[in-house]
Amino acid sequence: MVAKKVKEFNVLIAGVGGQGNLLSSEIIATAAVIEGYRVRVADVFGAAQRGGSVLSHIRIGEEVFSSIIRQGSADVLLGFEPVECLRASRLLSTSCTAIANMRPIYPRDVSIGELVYPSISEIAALLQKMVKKLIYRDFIEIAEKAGSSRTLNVVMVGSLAGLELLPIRKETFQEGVAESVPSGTEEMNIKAFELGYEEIKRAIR
Amino acid sequence: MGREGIIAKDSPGERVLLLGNEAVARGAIEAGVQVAASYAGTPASEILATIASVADRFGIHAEWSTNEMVAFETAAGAAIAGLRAMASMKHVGVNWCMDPLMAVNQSGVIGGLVVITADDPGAYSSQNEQDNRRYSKMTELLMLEPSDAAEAKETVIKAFAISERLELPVLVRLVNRICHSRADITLGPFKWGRRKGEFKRDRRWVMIASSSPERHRWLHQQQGEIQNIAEQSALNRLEGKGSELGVIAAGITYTYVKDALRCLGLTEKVSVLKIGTYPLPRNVVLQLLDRVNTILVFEEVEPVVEEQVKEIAFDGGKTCTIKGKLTGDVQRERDLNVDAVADSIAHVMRVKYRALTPAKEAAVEESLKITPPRRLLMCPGCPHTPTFFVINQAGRKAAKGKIIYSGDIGCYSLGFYTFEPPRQDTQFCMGASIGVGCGLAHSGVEDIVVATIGDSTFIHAGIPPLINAVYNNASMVVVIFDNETTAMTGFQHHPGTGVTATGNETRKLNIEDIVKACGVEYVKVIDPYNIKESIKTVTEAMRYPYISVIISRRLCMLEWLRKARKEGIKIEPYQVDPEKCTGCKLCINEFGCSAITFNKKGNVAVIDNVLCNGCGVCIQVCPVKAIHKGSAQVGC
Repeated sequence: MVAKKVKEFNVLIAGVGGQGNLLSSEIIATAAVIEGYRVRVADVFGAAQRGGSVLSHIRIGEEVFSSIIRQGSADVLLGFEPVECLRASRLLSTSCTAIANMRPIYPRDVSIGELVYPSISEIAALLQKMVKKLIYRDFIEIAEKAGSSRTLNVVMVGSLAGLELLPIRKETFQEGVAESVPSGTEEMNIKAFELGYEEIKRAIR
Repeated sequence: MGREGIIAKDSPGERVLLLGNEAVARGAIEAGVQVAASYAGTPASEILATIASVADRFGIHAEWSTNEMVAFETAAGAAIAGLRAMASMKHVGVNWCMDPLMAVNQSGVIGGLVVITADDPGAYSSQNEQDNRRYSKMTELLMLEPSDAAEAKETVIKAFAISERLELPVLVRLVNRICHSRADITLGPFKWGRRKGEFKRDRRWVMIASSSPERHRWLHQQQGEIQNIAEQSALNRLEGKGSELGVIAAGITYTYVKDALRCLGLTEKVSVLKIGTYPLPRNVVLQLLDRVNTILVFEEVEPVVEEQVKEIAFDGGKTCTIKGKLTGDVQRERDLNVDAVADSIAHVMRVKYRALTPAKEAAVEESLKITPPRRLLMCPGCPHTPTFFVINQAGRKAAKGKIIYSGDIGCYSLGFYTFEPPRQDTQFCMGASIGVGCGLAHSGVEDIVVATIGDSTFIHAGIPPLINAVYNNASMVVVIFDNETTAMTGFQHHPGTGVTATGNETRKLNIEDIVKACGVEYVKVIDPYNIKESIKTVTEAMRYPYISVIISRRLCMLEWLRKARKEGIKIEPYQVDPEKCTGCKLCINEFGCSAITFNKKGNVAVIDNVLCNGCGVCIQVCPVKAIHKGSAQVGC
């Protein structure tokens, strides 16, 4: 059994409705519960079924009460979409590790030519300014290697596990993945988890 | 294991991750609820959906009622017959219940009757952010308010026990952030005994003329016991010994206060009174007033506690300063959070506090400046998109474009965000599209009044105003956006789908039969995917001198996609031929499908092949026939 001495650990997932963020937050939170932690999670989204901004706040630790992460206190950001990372920036701690997928999903106003989407280098530079460590990739490419771009959410869970900042065992995460994903997709998703895990292991070596 | 498996797990002591609404459902099941009724509405919907998913295993009757009033009455009927029953709904749903609730509070009940109100501070998914704690005063009933999802389960179990002891309904107030938060929750044992309904004839069930004063007196006699329960409830708790400030934190704000005090390092200097009952525990409040000179009250939406604390202070002869929303020390509107609470405490205690360094703040501002917003959109292939297009085109033909969209509650309200000018000119509450439409029609405005209302909303609240429109001759066009589900709240069944909350087939309500029975003579059903035919019909309806009703029927695209996936139907996206496209933007501005984008450089429309759900309606819309079924030939 791992030590249960976490006082407060905050993981923030920023993405767009339809990317499977909610499943990621469920997997991470379930793994934390299995490991015996106190957990509070809030999935914050508007009325949109698809295409709206979605923020999942996952708070783990003995001194955690509210389910919402306060400003400047997210320890890890899992960014599923570039500008959504920026939108969440107020919540990031200066000691935050940010893992960001840099494949954009253009907002409506951008795709009809009314507004401009910032460049990836501009986004990365801004994020770099605000966090301690930034790891950014095209994680969709990695998800495709697992078998489908739809496994992005599990790739990102794997990347969180790969950071090893949380005392949650790899096997517990894997258990969470196998239990939560739609039946028939377990194998592909376990592969996605592994690819995300390895990618981050390599990045922080 | 699916969600149902976790909800039905008979393993007391096990810790599982549950959504707040699932925790409420589990609490009701543990308490032995036998009848549960609701009308879908964010943020309450998952409560009944969860109970319904395991209802058969536990011998529970779970139903989606036609509206919240009927849900409450159904639960009340069962409770009068001695069963434990629960009605759950969003905050504005309780407005519908006030009529029966203001009589059942005096008749009382036999079996435990719990009414769950899921409030929406910040109005994230509602027309308003009303505070239903006000209803505890109005009804003179006990209201309980948990501070988080874990406490919510225990609160519901307590509410049933108290309701039975007092023979009165008990109200439980939740807020959106509890309903939709997840927490580790310890499962309890199930109360397995099932009661058989028994109706005992009693004068108190007949709230007839002049019977009220006697029952009202009975309700007043119960107030002493309600106050005792409040004094002893574990939902109210005085913590800490600090004397510099007394913080009173109602419901969810307790969790914000705990986090804020820790981050400010002020836990030792402050006494915190957690509040979870209405009425307030007078003696506990007085204990706190004895200890400190300044009180700061946190609560979501209205200053309910703040006002009651003032009353208690006055009665107790206390002279401390009471701060909160009324004094401008706590933000008045919107939901609170740890940051807002920390700011207020720091301000009142004159402590310097900055959540972010100036450098970080500047970087955040810079980030937000270049972040484009994501507005609410209708899904690609949504049948509402062509229905709006059809109404607009018909409006041009029949009324030179002069139409008023008298709107309602549902996905079609997104017509407000999708189009410019918006295709939603009014929106108030369930059914108001037709009711307000009546008044607009009688006002003499020149525009044609088009009431837009969904199938579930029509059944909930549209029928009496439709009869009114016929009876009092209000000339308007009512368009029923029938997507055969309650889409906005998560695809719940309703009488028009022919399936119950527990998935059983039942008699399917035919909307056109209802409309005809209301006395409407002009009733036509259109398929919004057939643009030409639909425009013809709606134009004709607009020229009809009396009330006309159009039923625009097509299954919700998200429901259709689920079916398609099951049946292995392949979705073939459409494409725009850049050679033919003239860049007129009709498909974007007038039609407004969210899968159609625009390439500024090429001055042509482009269909996003990931977003396109292959409905193909855009083919009929494009004036130069530039859209065709997808293939590899096109690229921009």
